Amino acid sequence: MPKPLFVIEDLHVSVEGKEILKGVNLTVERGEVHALMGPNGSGKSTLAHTLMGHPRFQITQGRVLLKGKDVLSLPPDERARQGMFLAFQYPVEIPGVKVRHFLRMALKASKGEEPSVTEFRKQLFEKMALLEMNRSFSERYVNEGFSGGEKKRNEILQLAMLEPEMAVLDEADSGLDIDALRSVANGINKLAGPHMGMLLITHYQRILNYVDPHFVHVLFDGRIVRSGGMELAQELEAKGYEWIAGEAVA
Amino acid sequence: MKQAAKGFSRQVVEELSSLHSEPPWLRQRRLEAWRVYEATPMPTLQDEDWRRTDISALALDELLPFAEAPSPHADSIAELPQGLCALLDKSRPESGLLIQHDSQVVHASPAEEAAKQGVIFASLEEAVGEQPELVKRYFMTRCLPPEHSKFVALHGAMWSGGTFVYVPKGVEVELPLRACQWLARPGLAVFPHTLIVLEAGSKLTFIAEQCSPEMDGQALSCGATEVYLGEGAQLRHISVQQLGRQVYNLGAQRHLLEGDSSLDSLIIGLGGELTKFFVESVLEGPGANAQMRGVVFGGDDQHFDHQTLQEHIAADCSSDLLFKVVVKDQAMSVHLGNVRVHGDARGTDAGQTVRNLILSEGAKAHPILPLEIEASDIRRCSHAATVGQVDEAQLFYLMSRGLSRRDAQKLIVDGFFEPVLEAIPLPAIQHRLRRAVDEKLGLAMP
Repeated sequence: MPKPLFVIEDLHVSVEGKEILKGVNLTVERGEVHALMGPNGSGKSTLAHTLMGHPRFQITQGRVLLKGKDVLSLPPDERARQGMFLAFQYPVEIPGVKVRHFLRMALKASKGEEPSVTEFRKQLFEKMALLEMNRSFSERYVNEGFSGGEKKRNEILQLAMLEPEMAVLDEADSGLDIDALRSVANGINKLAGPHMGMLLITHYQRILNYVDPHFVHVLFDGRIVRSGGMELAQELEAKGYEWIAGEAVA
Repeated sequence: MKQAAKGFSRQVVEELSSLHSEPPWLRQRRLEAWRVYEATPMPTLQDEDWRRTDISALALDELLPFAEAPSPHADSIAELPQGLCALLDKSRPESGLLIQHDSQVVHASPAEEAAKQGVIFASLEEAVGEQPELVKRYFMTRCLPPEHSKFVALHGAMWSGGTFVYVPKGVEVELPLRACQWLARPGLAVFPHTLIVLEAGSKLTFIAEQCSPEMDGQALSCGATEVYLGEGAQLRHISVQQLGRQVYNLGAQRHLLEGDSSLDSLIIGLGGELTKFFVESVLEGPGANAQMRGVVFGGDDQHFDHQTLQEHIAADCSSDLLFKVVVKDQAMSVHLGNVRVHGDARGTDAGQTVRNLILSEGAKAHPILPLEIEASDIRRCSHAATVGQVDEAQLFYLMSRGLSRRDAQKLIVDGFFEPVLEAIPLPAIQHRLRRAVDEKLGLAMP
């Protein structure tokens, strides 16, 4: 039997001595889209950052396996080269570095070889067309002066260019108006496919009006307390996180 | 005199003047500058301007004050030494280019189109003979008199070679003019002088480069640049310093701006052992505007000290300074940035920002930005300095895209400099500077 694409196994994570994740278990296969929902403080962002290797988070227990190999000891750049990707909730500004140049460097670093200039341009413009982005966007400095929507779309463009095997999207919908939300969601739908596993981390159900996940999980107080299909997201939307809180306490 | 004895003296001043067959007024100016030099104490760490810059290791008495270029005249750049040749963009026509090799100007190709419009672009020594009235009026008089400072006085006594640019009223010079100073002889002190006069309503881009190969012995570059901007004149002035690691660089550059004139200056400091450089803009006429930018990258044990001045004398002028500094290894950068607003300078709008990026624990940056404001009715007078390391959030973001920590750091440093470099009008110089930055980061073979 082939190894699962991505497995989170009994993951415990602390920040400055305080345990935030208290045993998370999750398996994502190729072609699957998983939504992970949870209220503020449930550990969503901790999970996203830990999966990508942010040094601030201390792993006290558990494993994260990508294609059967534990990635927890690897630095972030190595994880990216192994096929992981994180779309940031708060993408970082890199002043003076053009989107085009950044993408070329990232592509070179993650694939190990530099695409030719013409090949790269072709690929970039194709992906931008797919995501309905204006070409002039690639001449701007990375995230500098970008609107909230532009930052999120820039994350999706990076996802499109880097073609990872396992993509974690941390609150790809936060802070967006309805048009920007629709555009980001369309991008996600176009990029999801049989070659990729996707973990969509979100506070609100509303992005799931546009993206259909195969599985929905609820993270609460550092653990996944419920898993199901779209009906779980709808139930959450109707009843609110307090419903889960009540159950968790009981 | 092919080569003077070591050290500086009144006798050397007189020999230099005779060597160039100078008119009495110029000889007199040299001697007066020498008098000021002798009367001015050698700067020490006790002087406010030199508090963090120690030049006691500079052996002035061991330096030659003059040396002929190995080949005194080059008709085309192909005849120049290889290292110097490599700096020049061979694809570009050889016009509007002046080259000083050690103490002598060896090549001056006039900008023909500009010459038809009355533009003068020649060695300063030649201009002394052909444009005595202009040189007499502007050379080290109002802009940079010897009294400015110890080494400006030494420069006034010892200068040789040099560049003279004169743009008549209303003339806009299309092609950038470029002067390249090549110091290739260990033990030599060079004193290149640049004098630029822009008459009212004229327009010019001027690129000055100081370069040298790596040498096995101390050398000194002690240059001075004087610029006069007439009413409404516009100047883009780019100065690139890529001297070898053994060179002390003690220089001064001063711009005098008449009403409604505008200056866009860029200082790039990459080379040398120790640099103390005065960069001054004096806004003398109402409505003048000075943009002063700088890029400094120090590595190893290099020491940079840029002392800038934005002096607002007339009303309704604006000045804005932005220096971007990166230091690594044991390098140190000092920025002493003065803004002085005189009592009559109503409506002044002045800002200065110095941003320092520290790449290694042993590297240091000291921005010191005093304001002196005498006018009461001003629009803005602000200063800001930052000193910080590369942002961990930026590194994590870039590394999450597969870039190694080193490549991520390189990208951040490149981005820090890029908006300034990309504004340089000659792509070949842009390219060379990006390469130099990469070399300093230890990422490219020299």
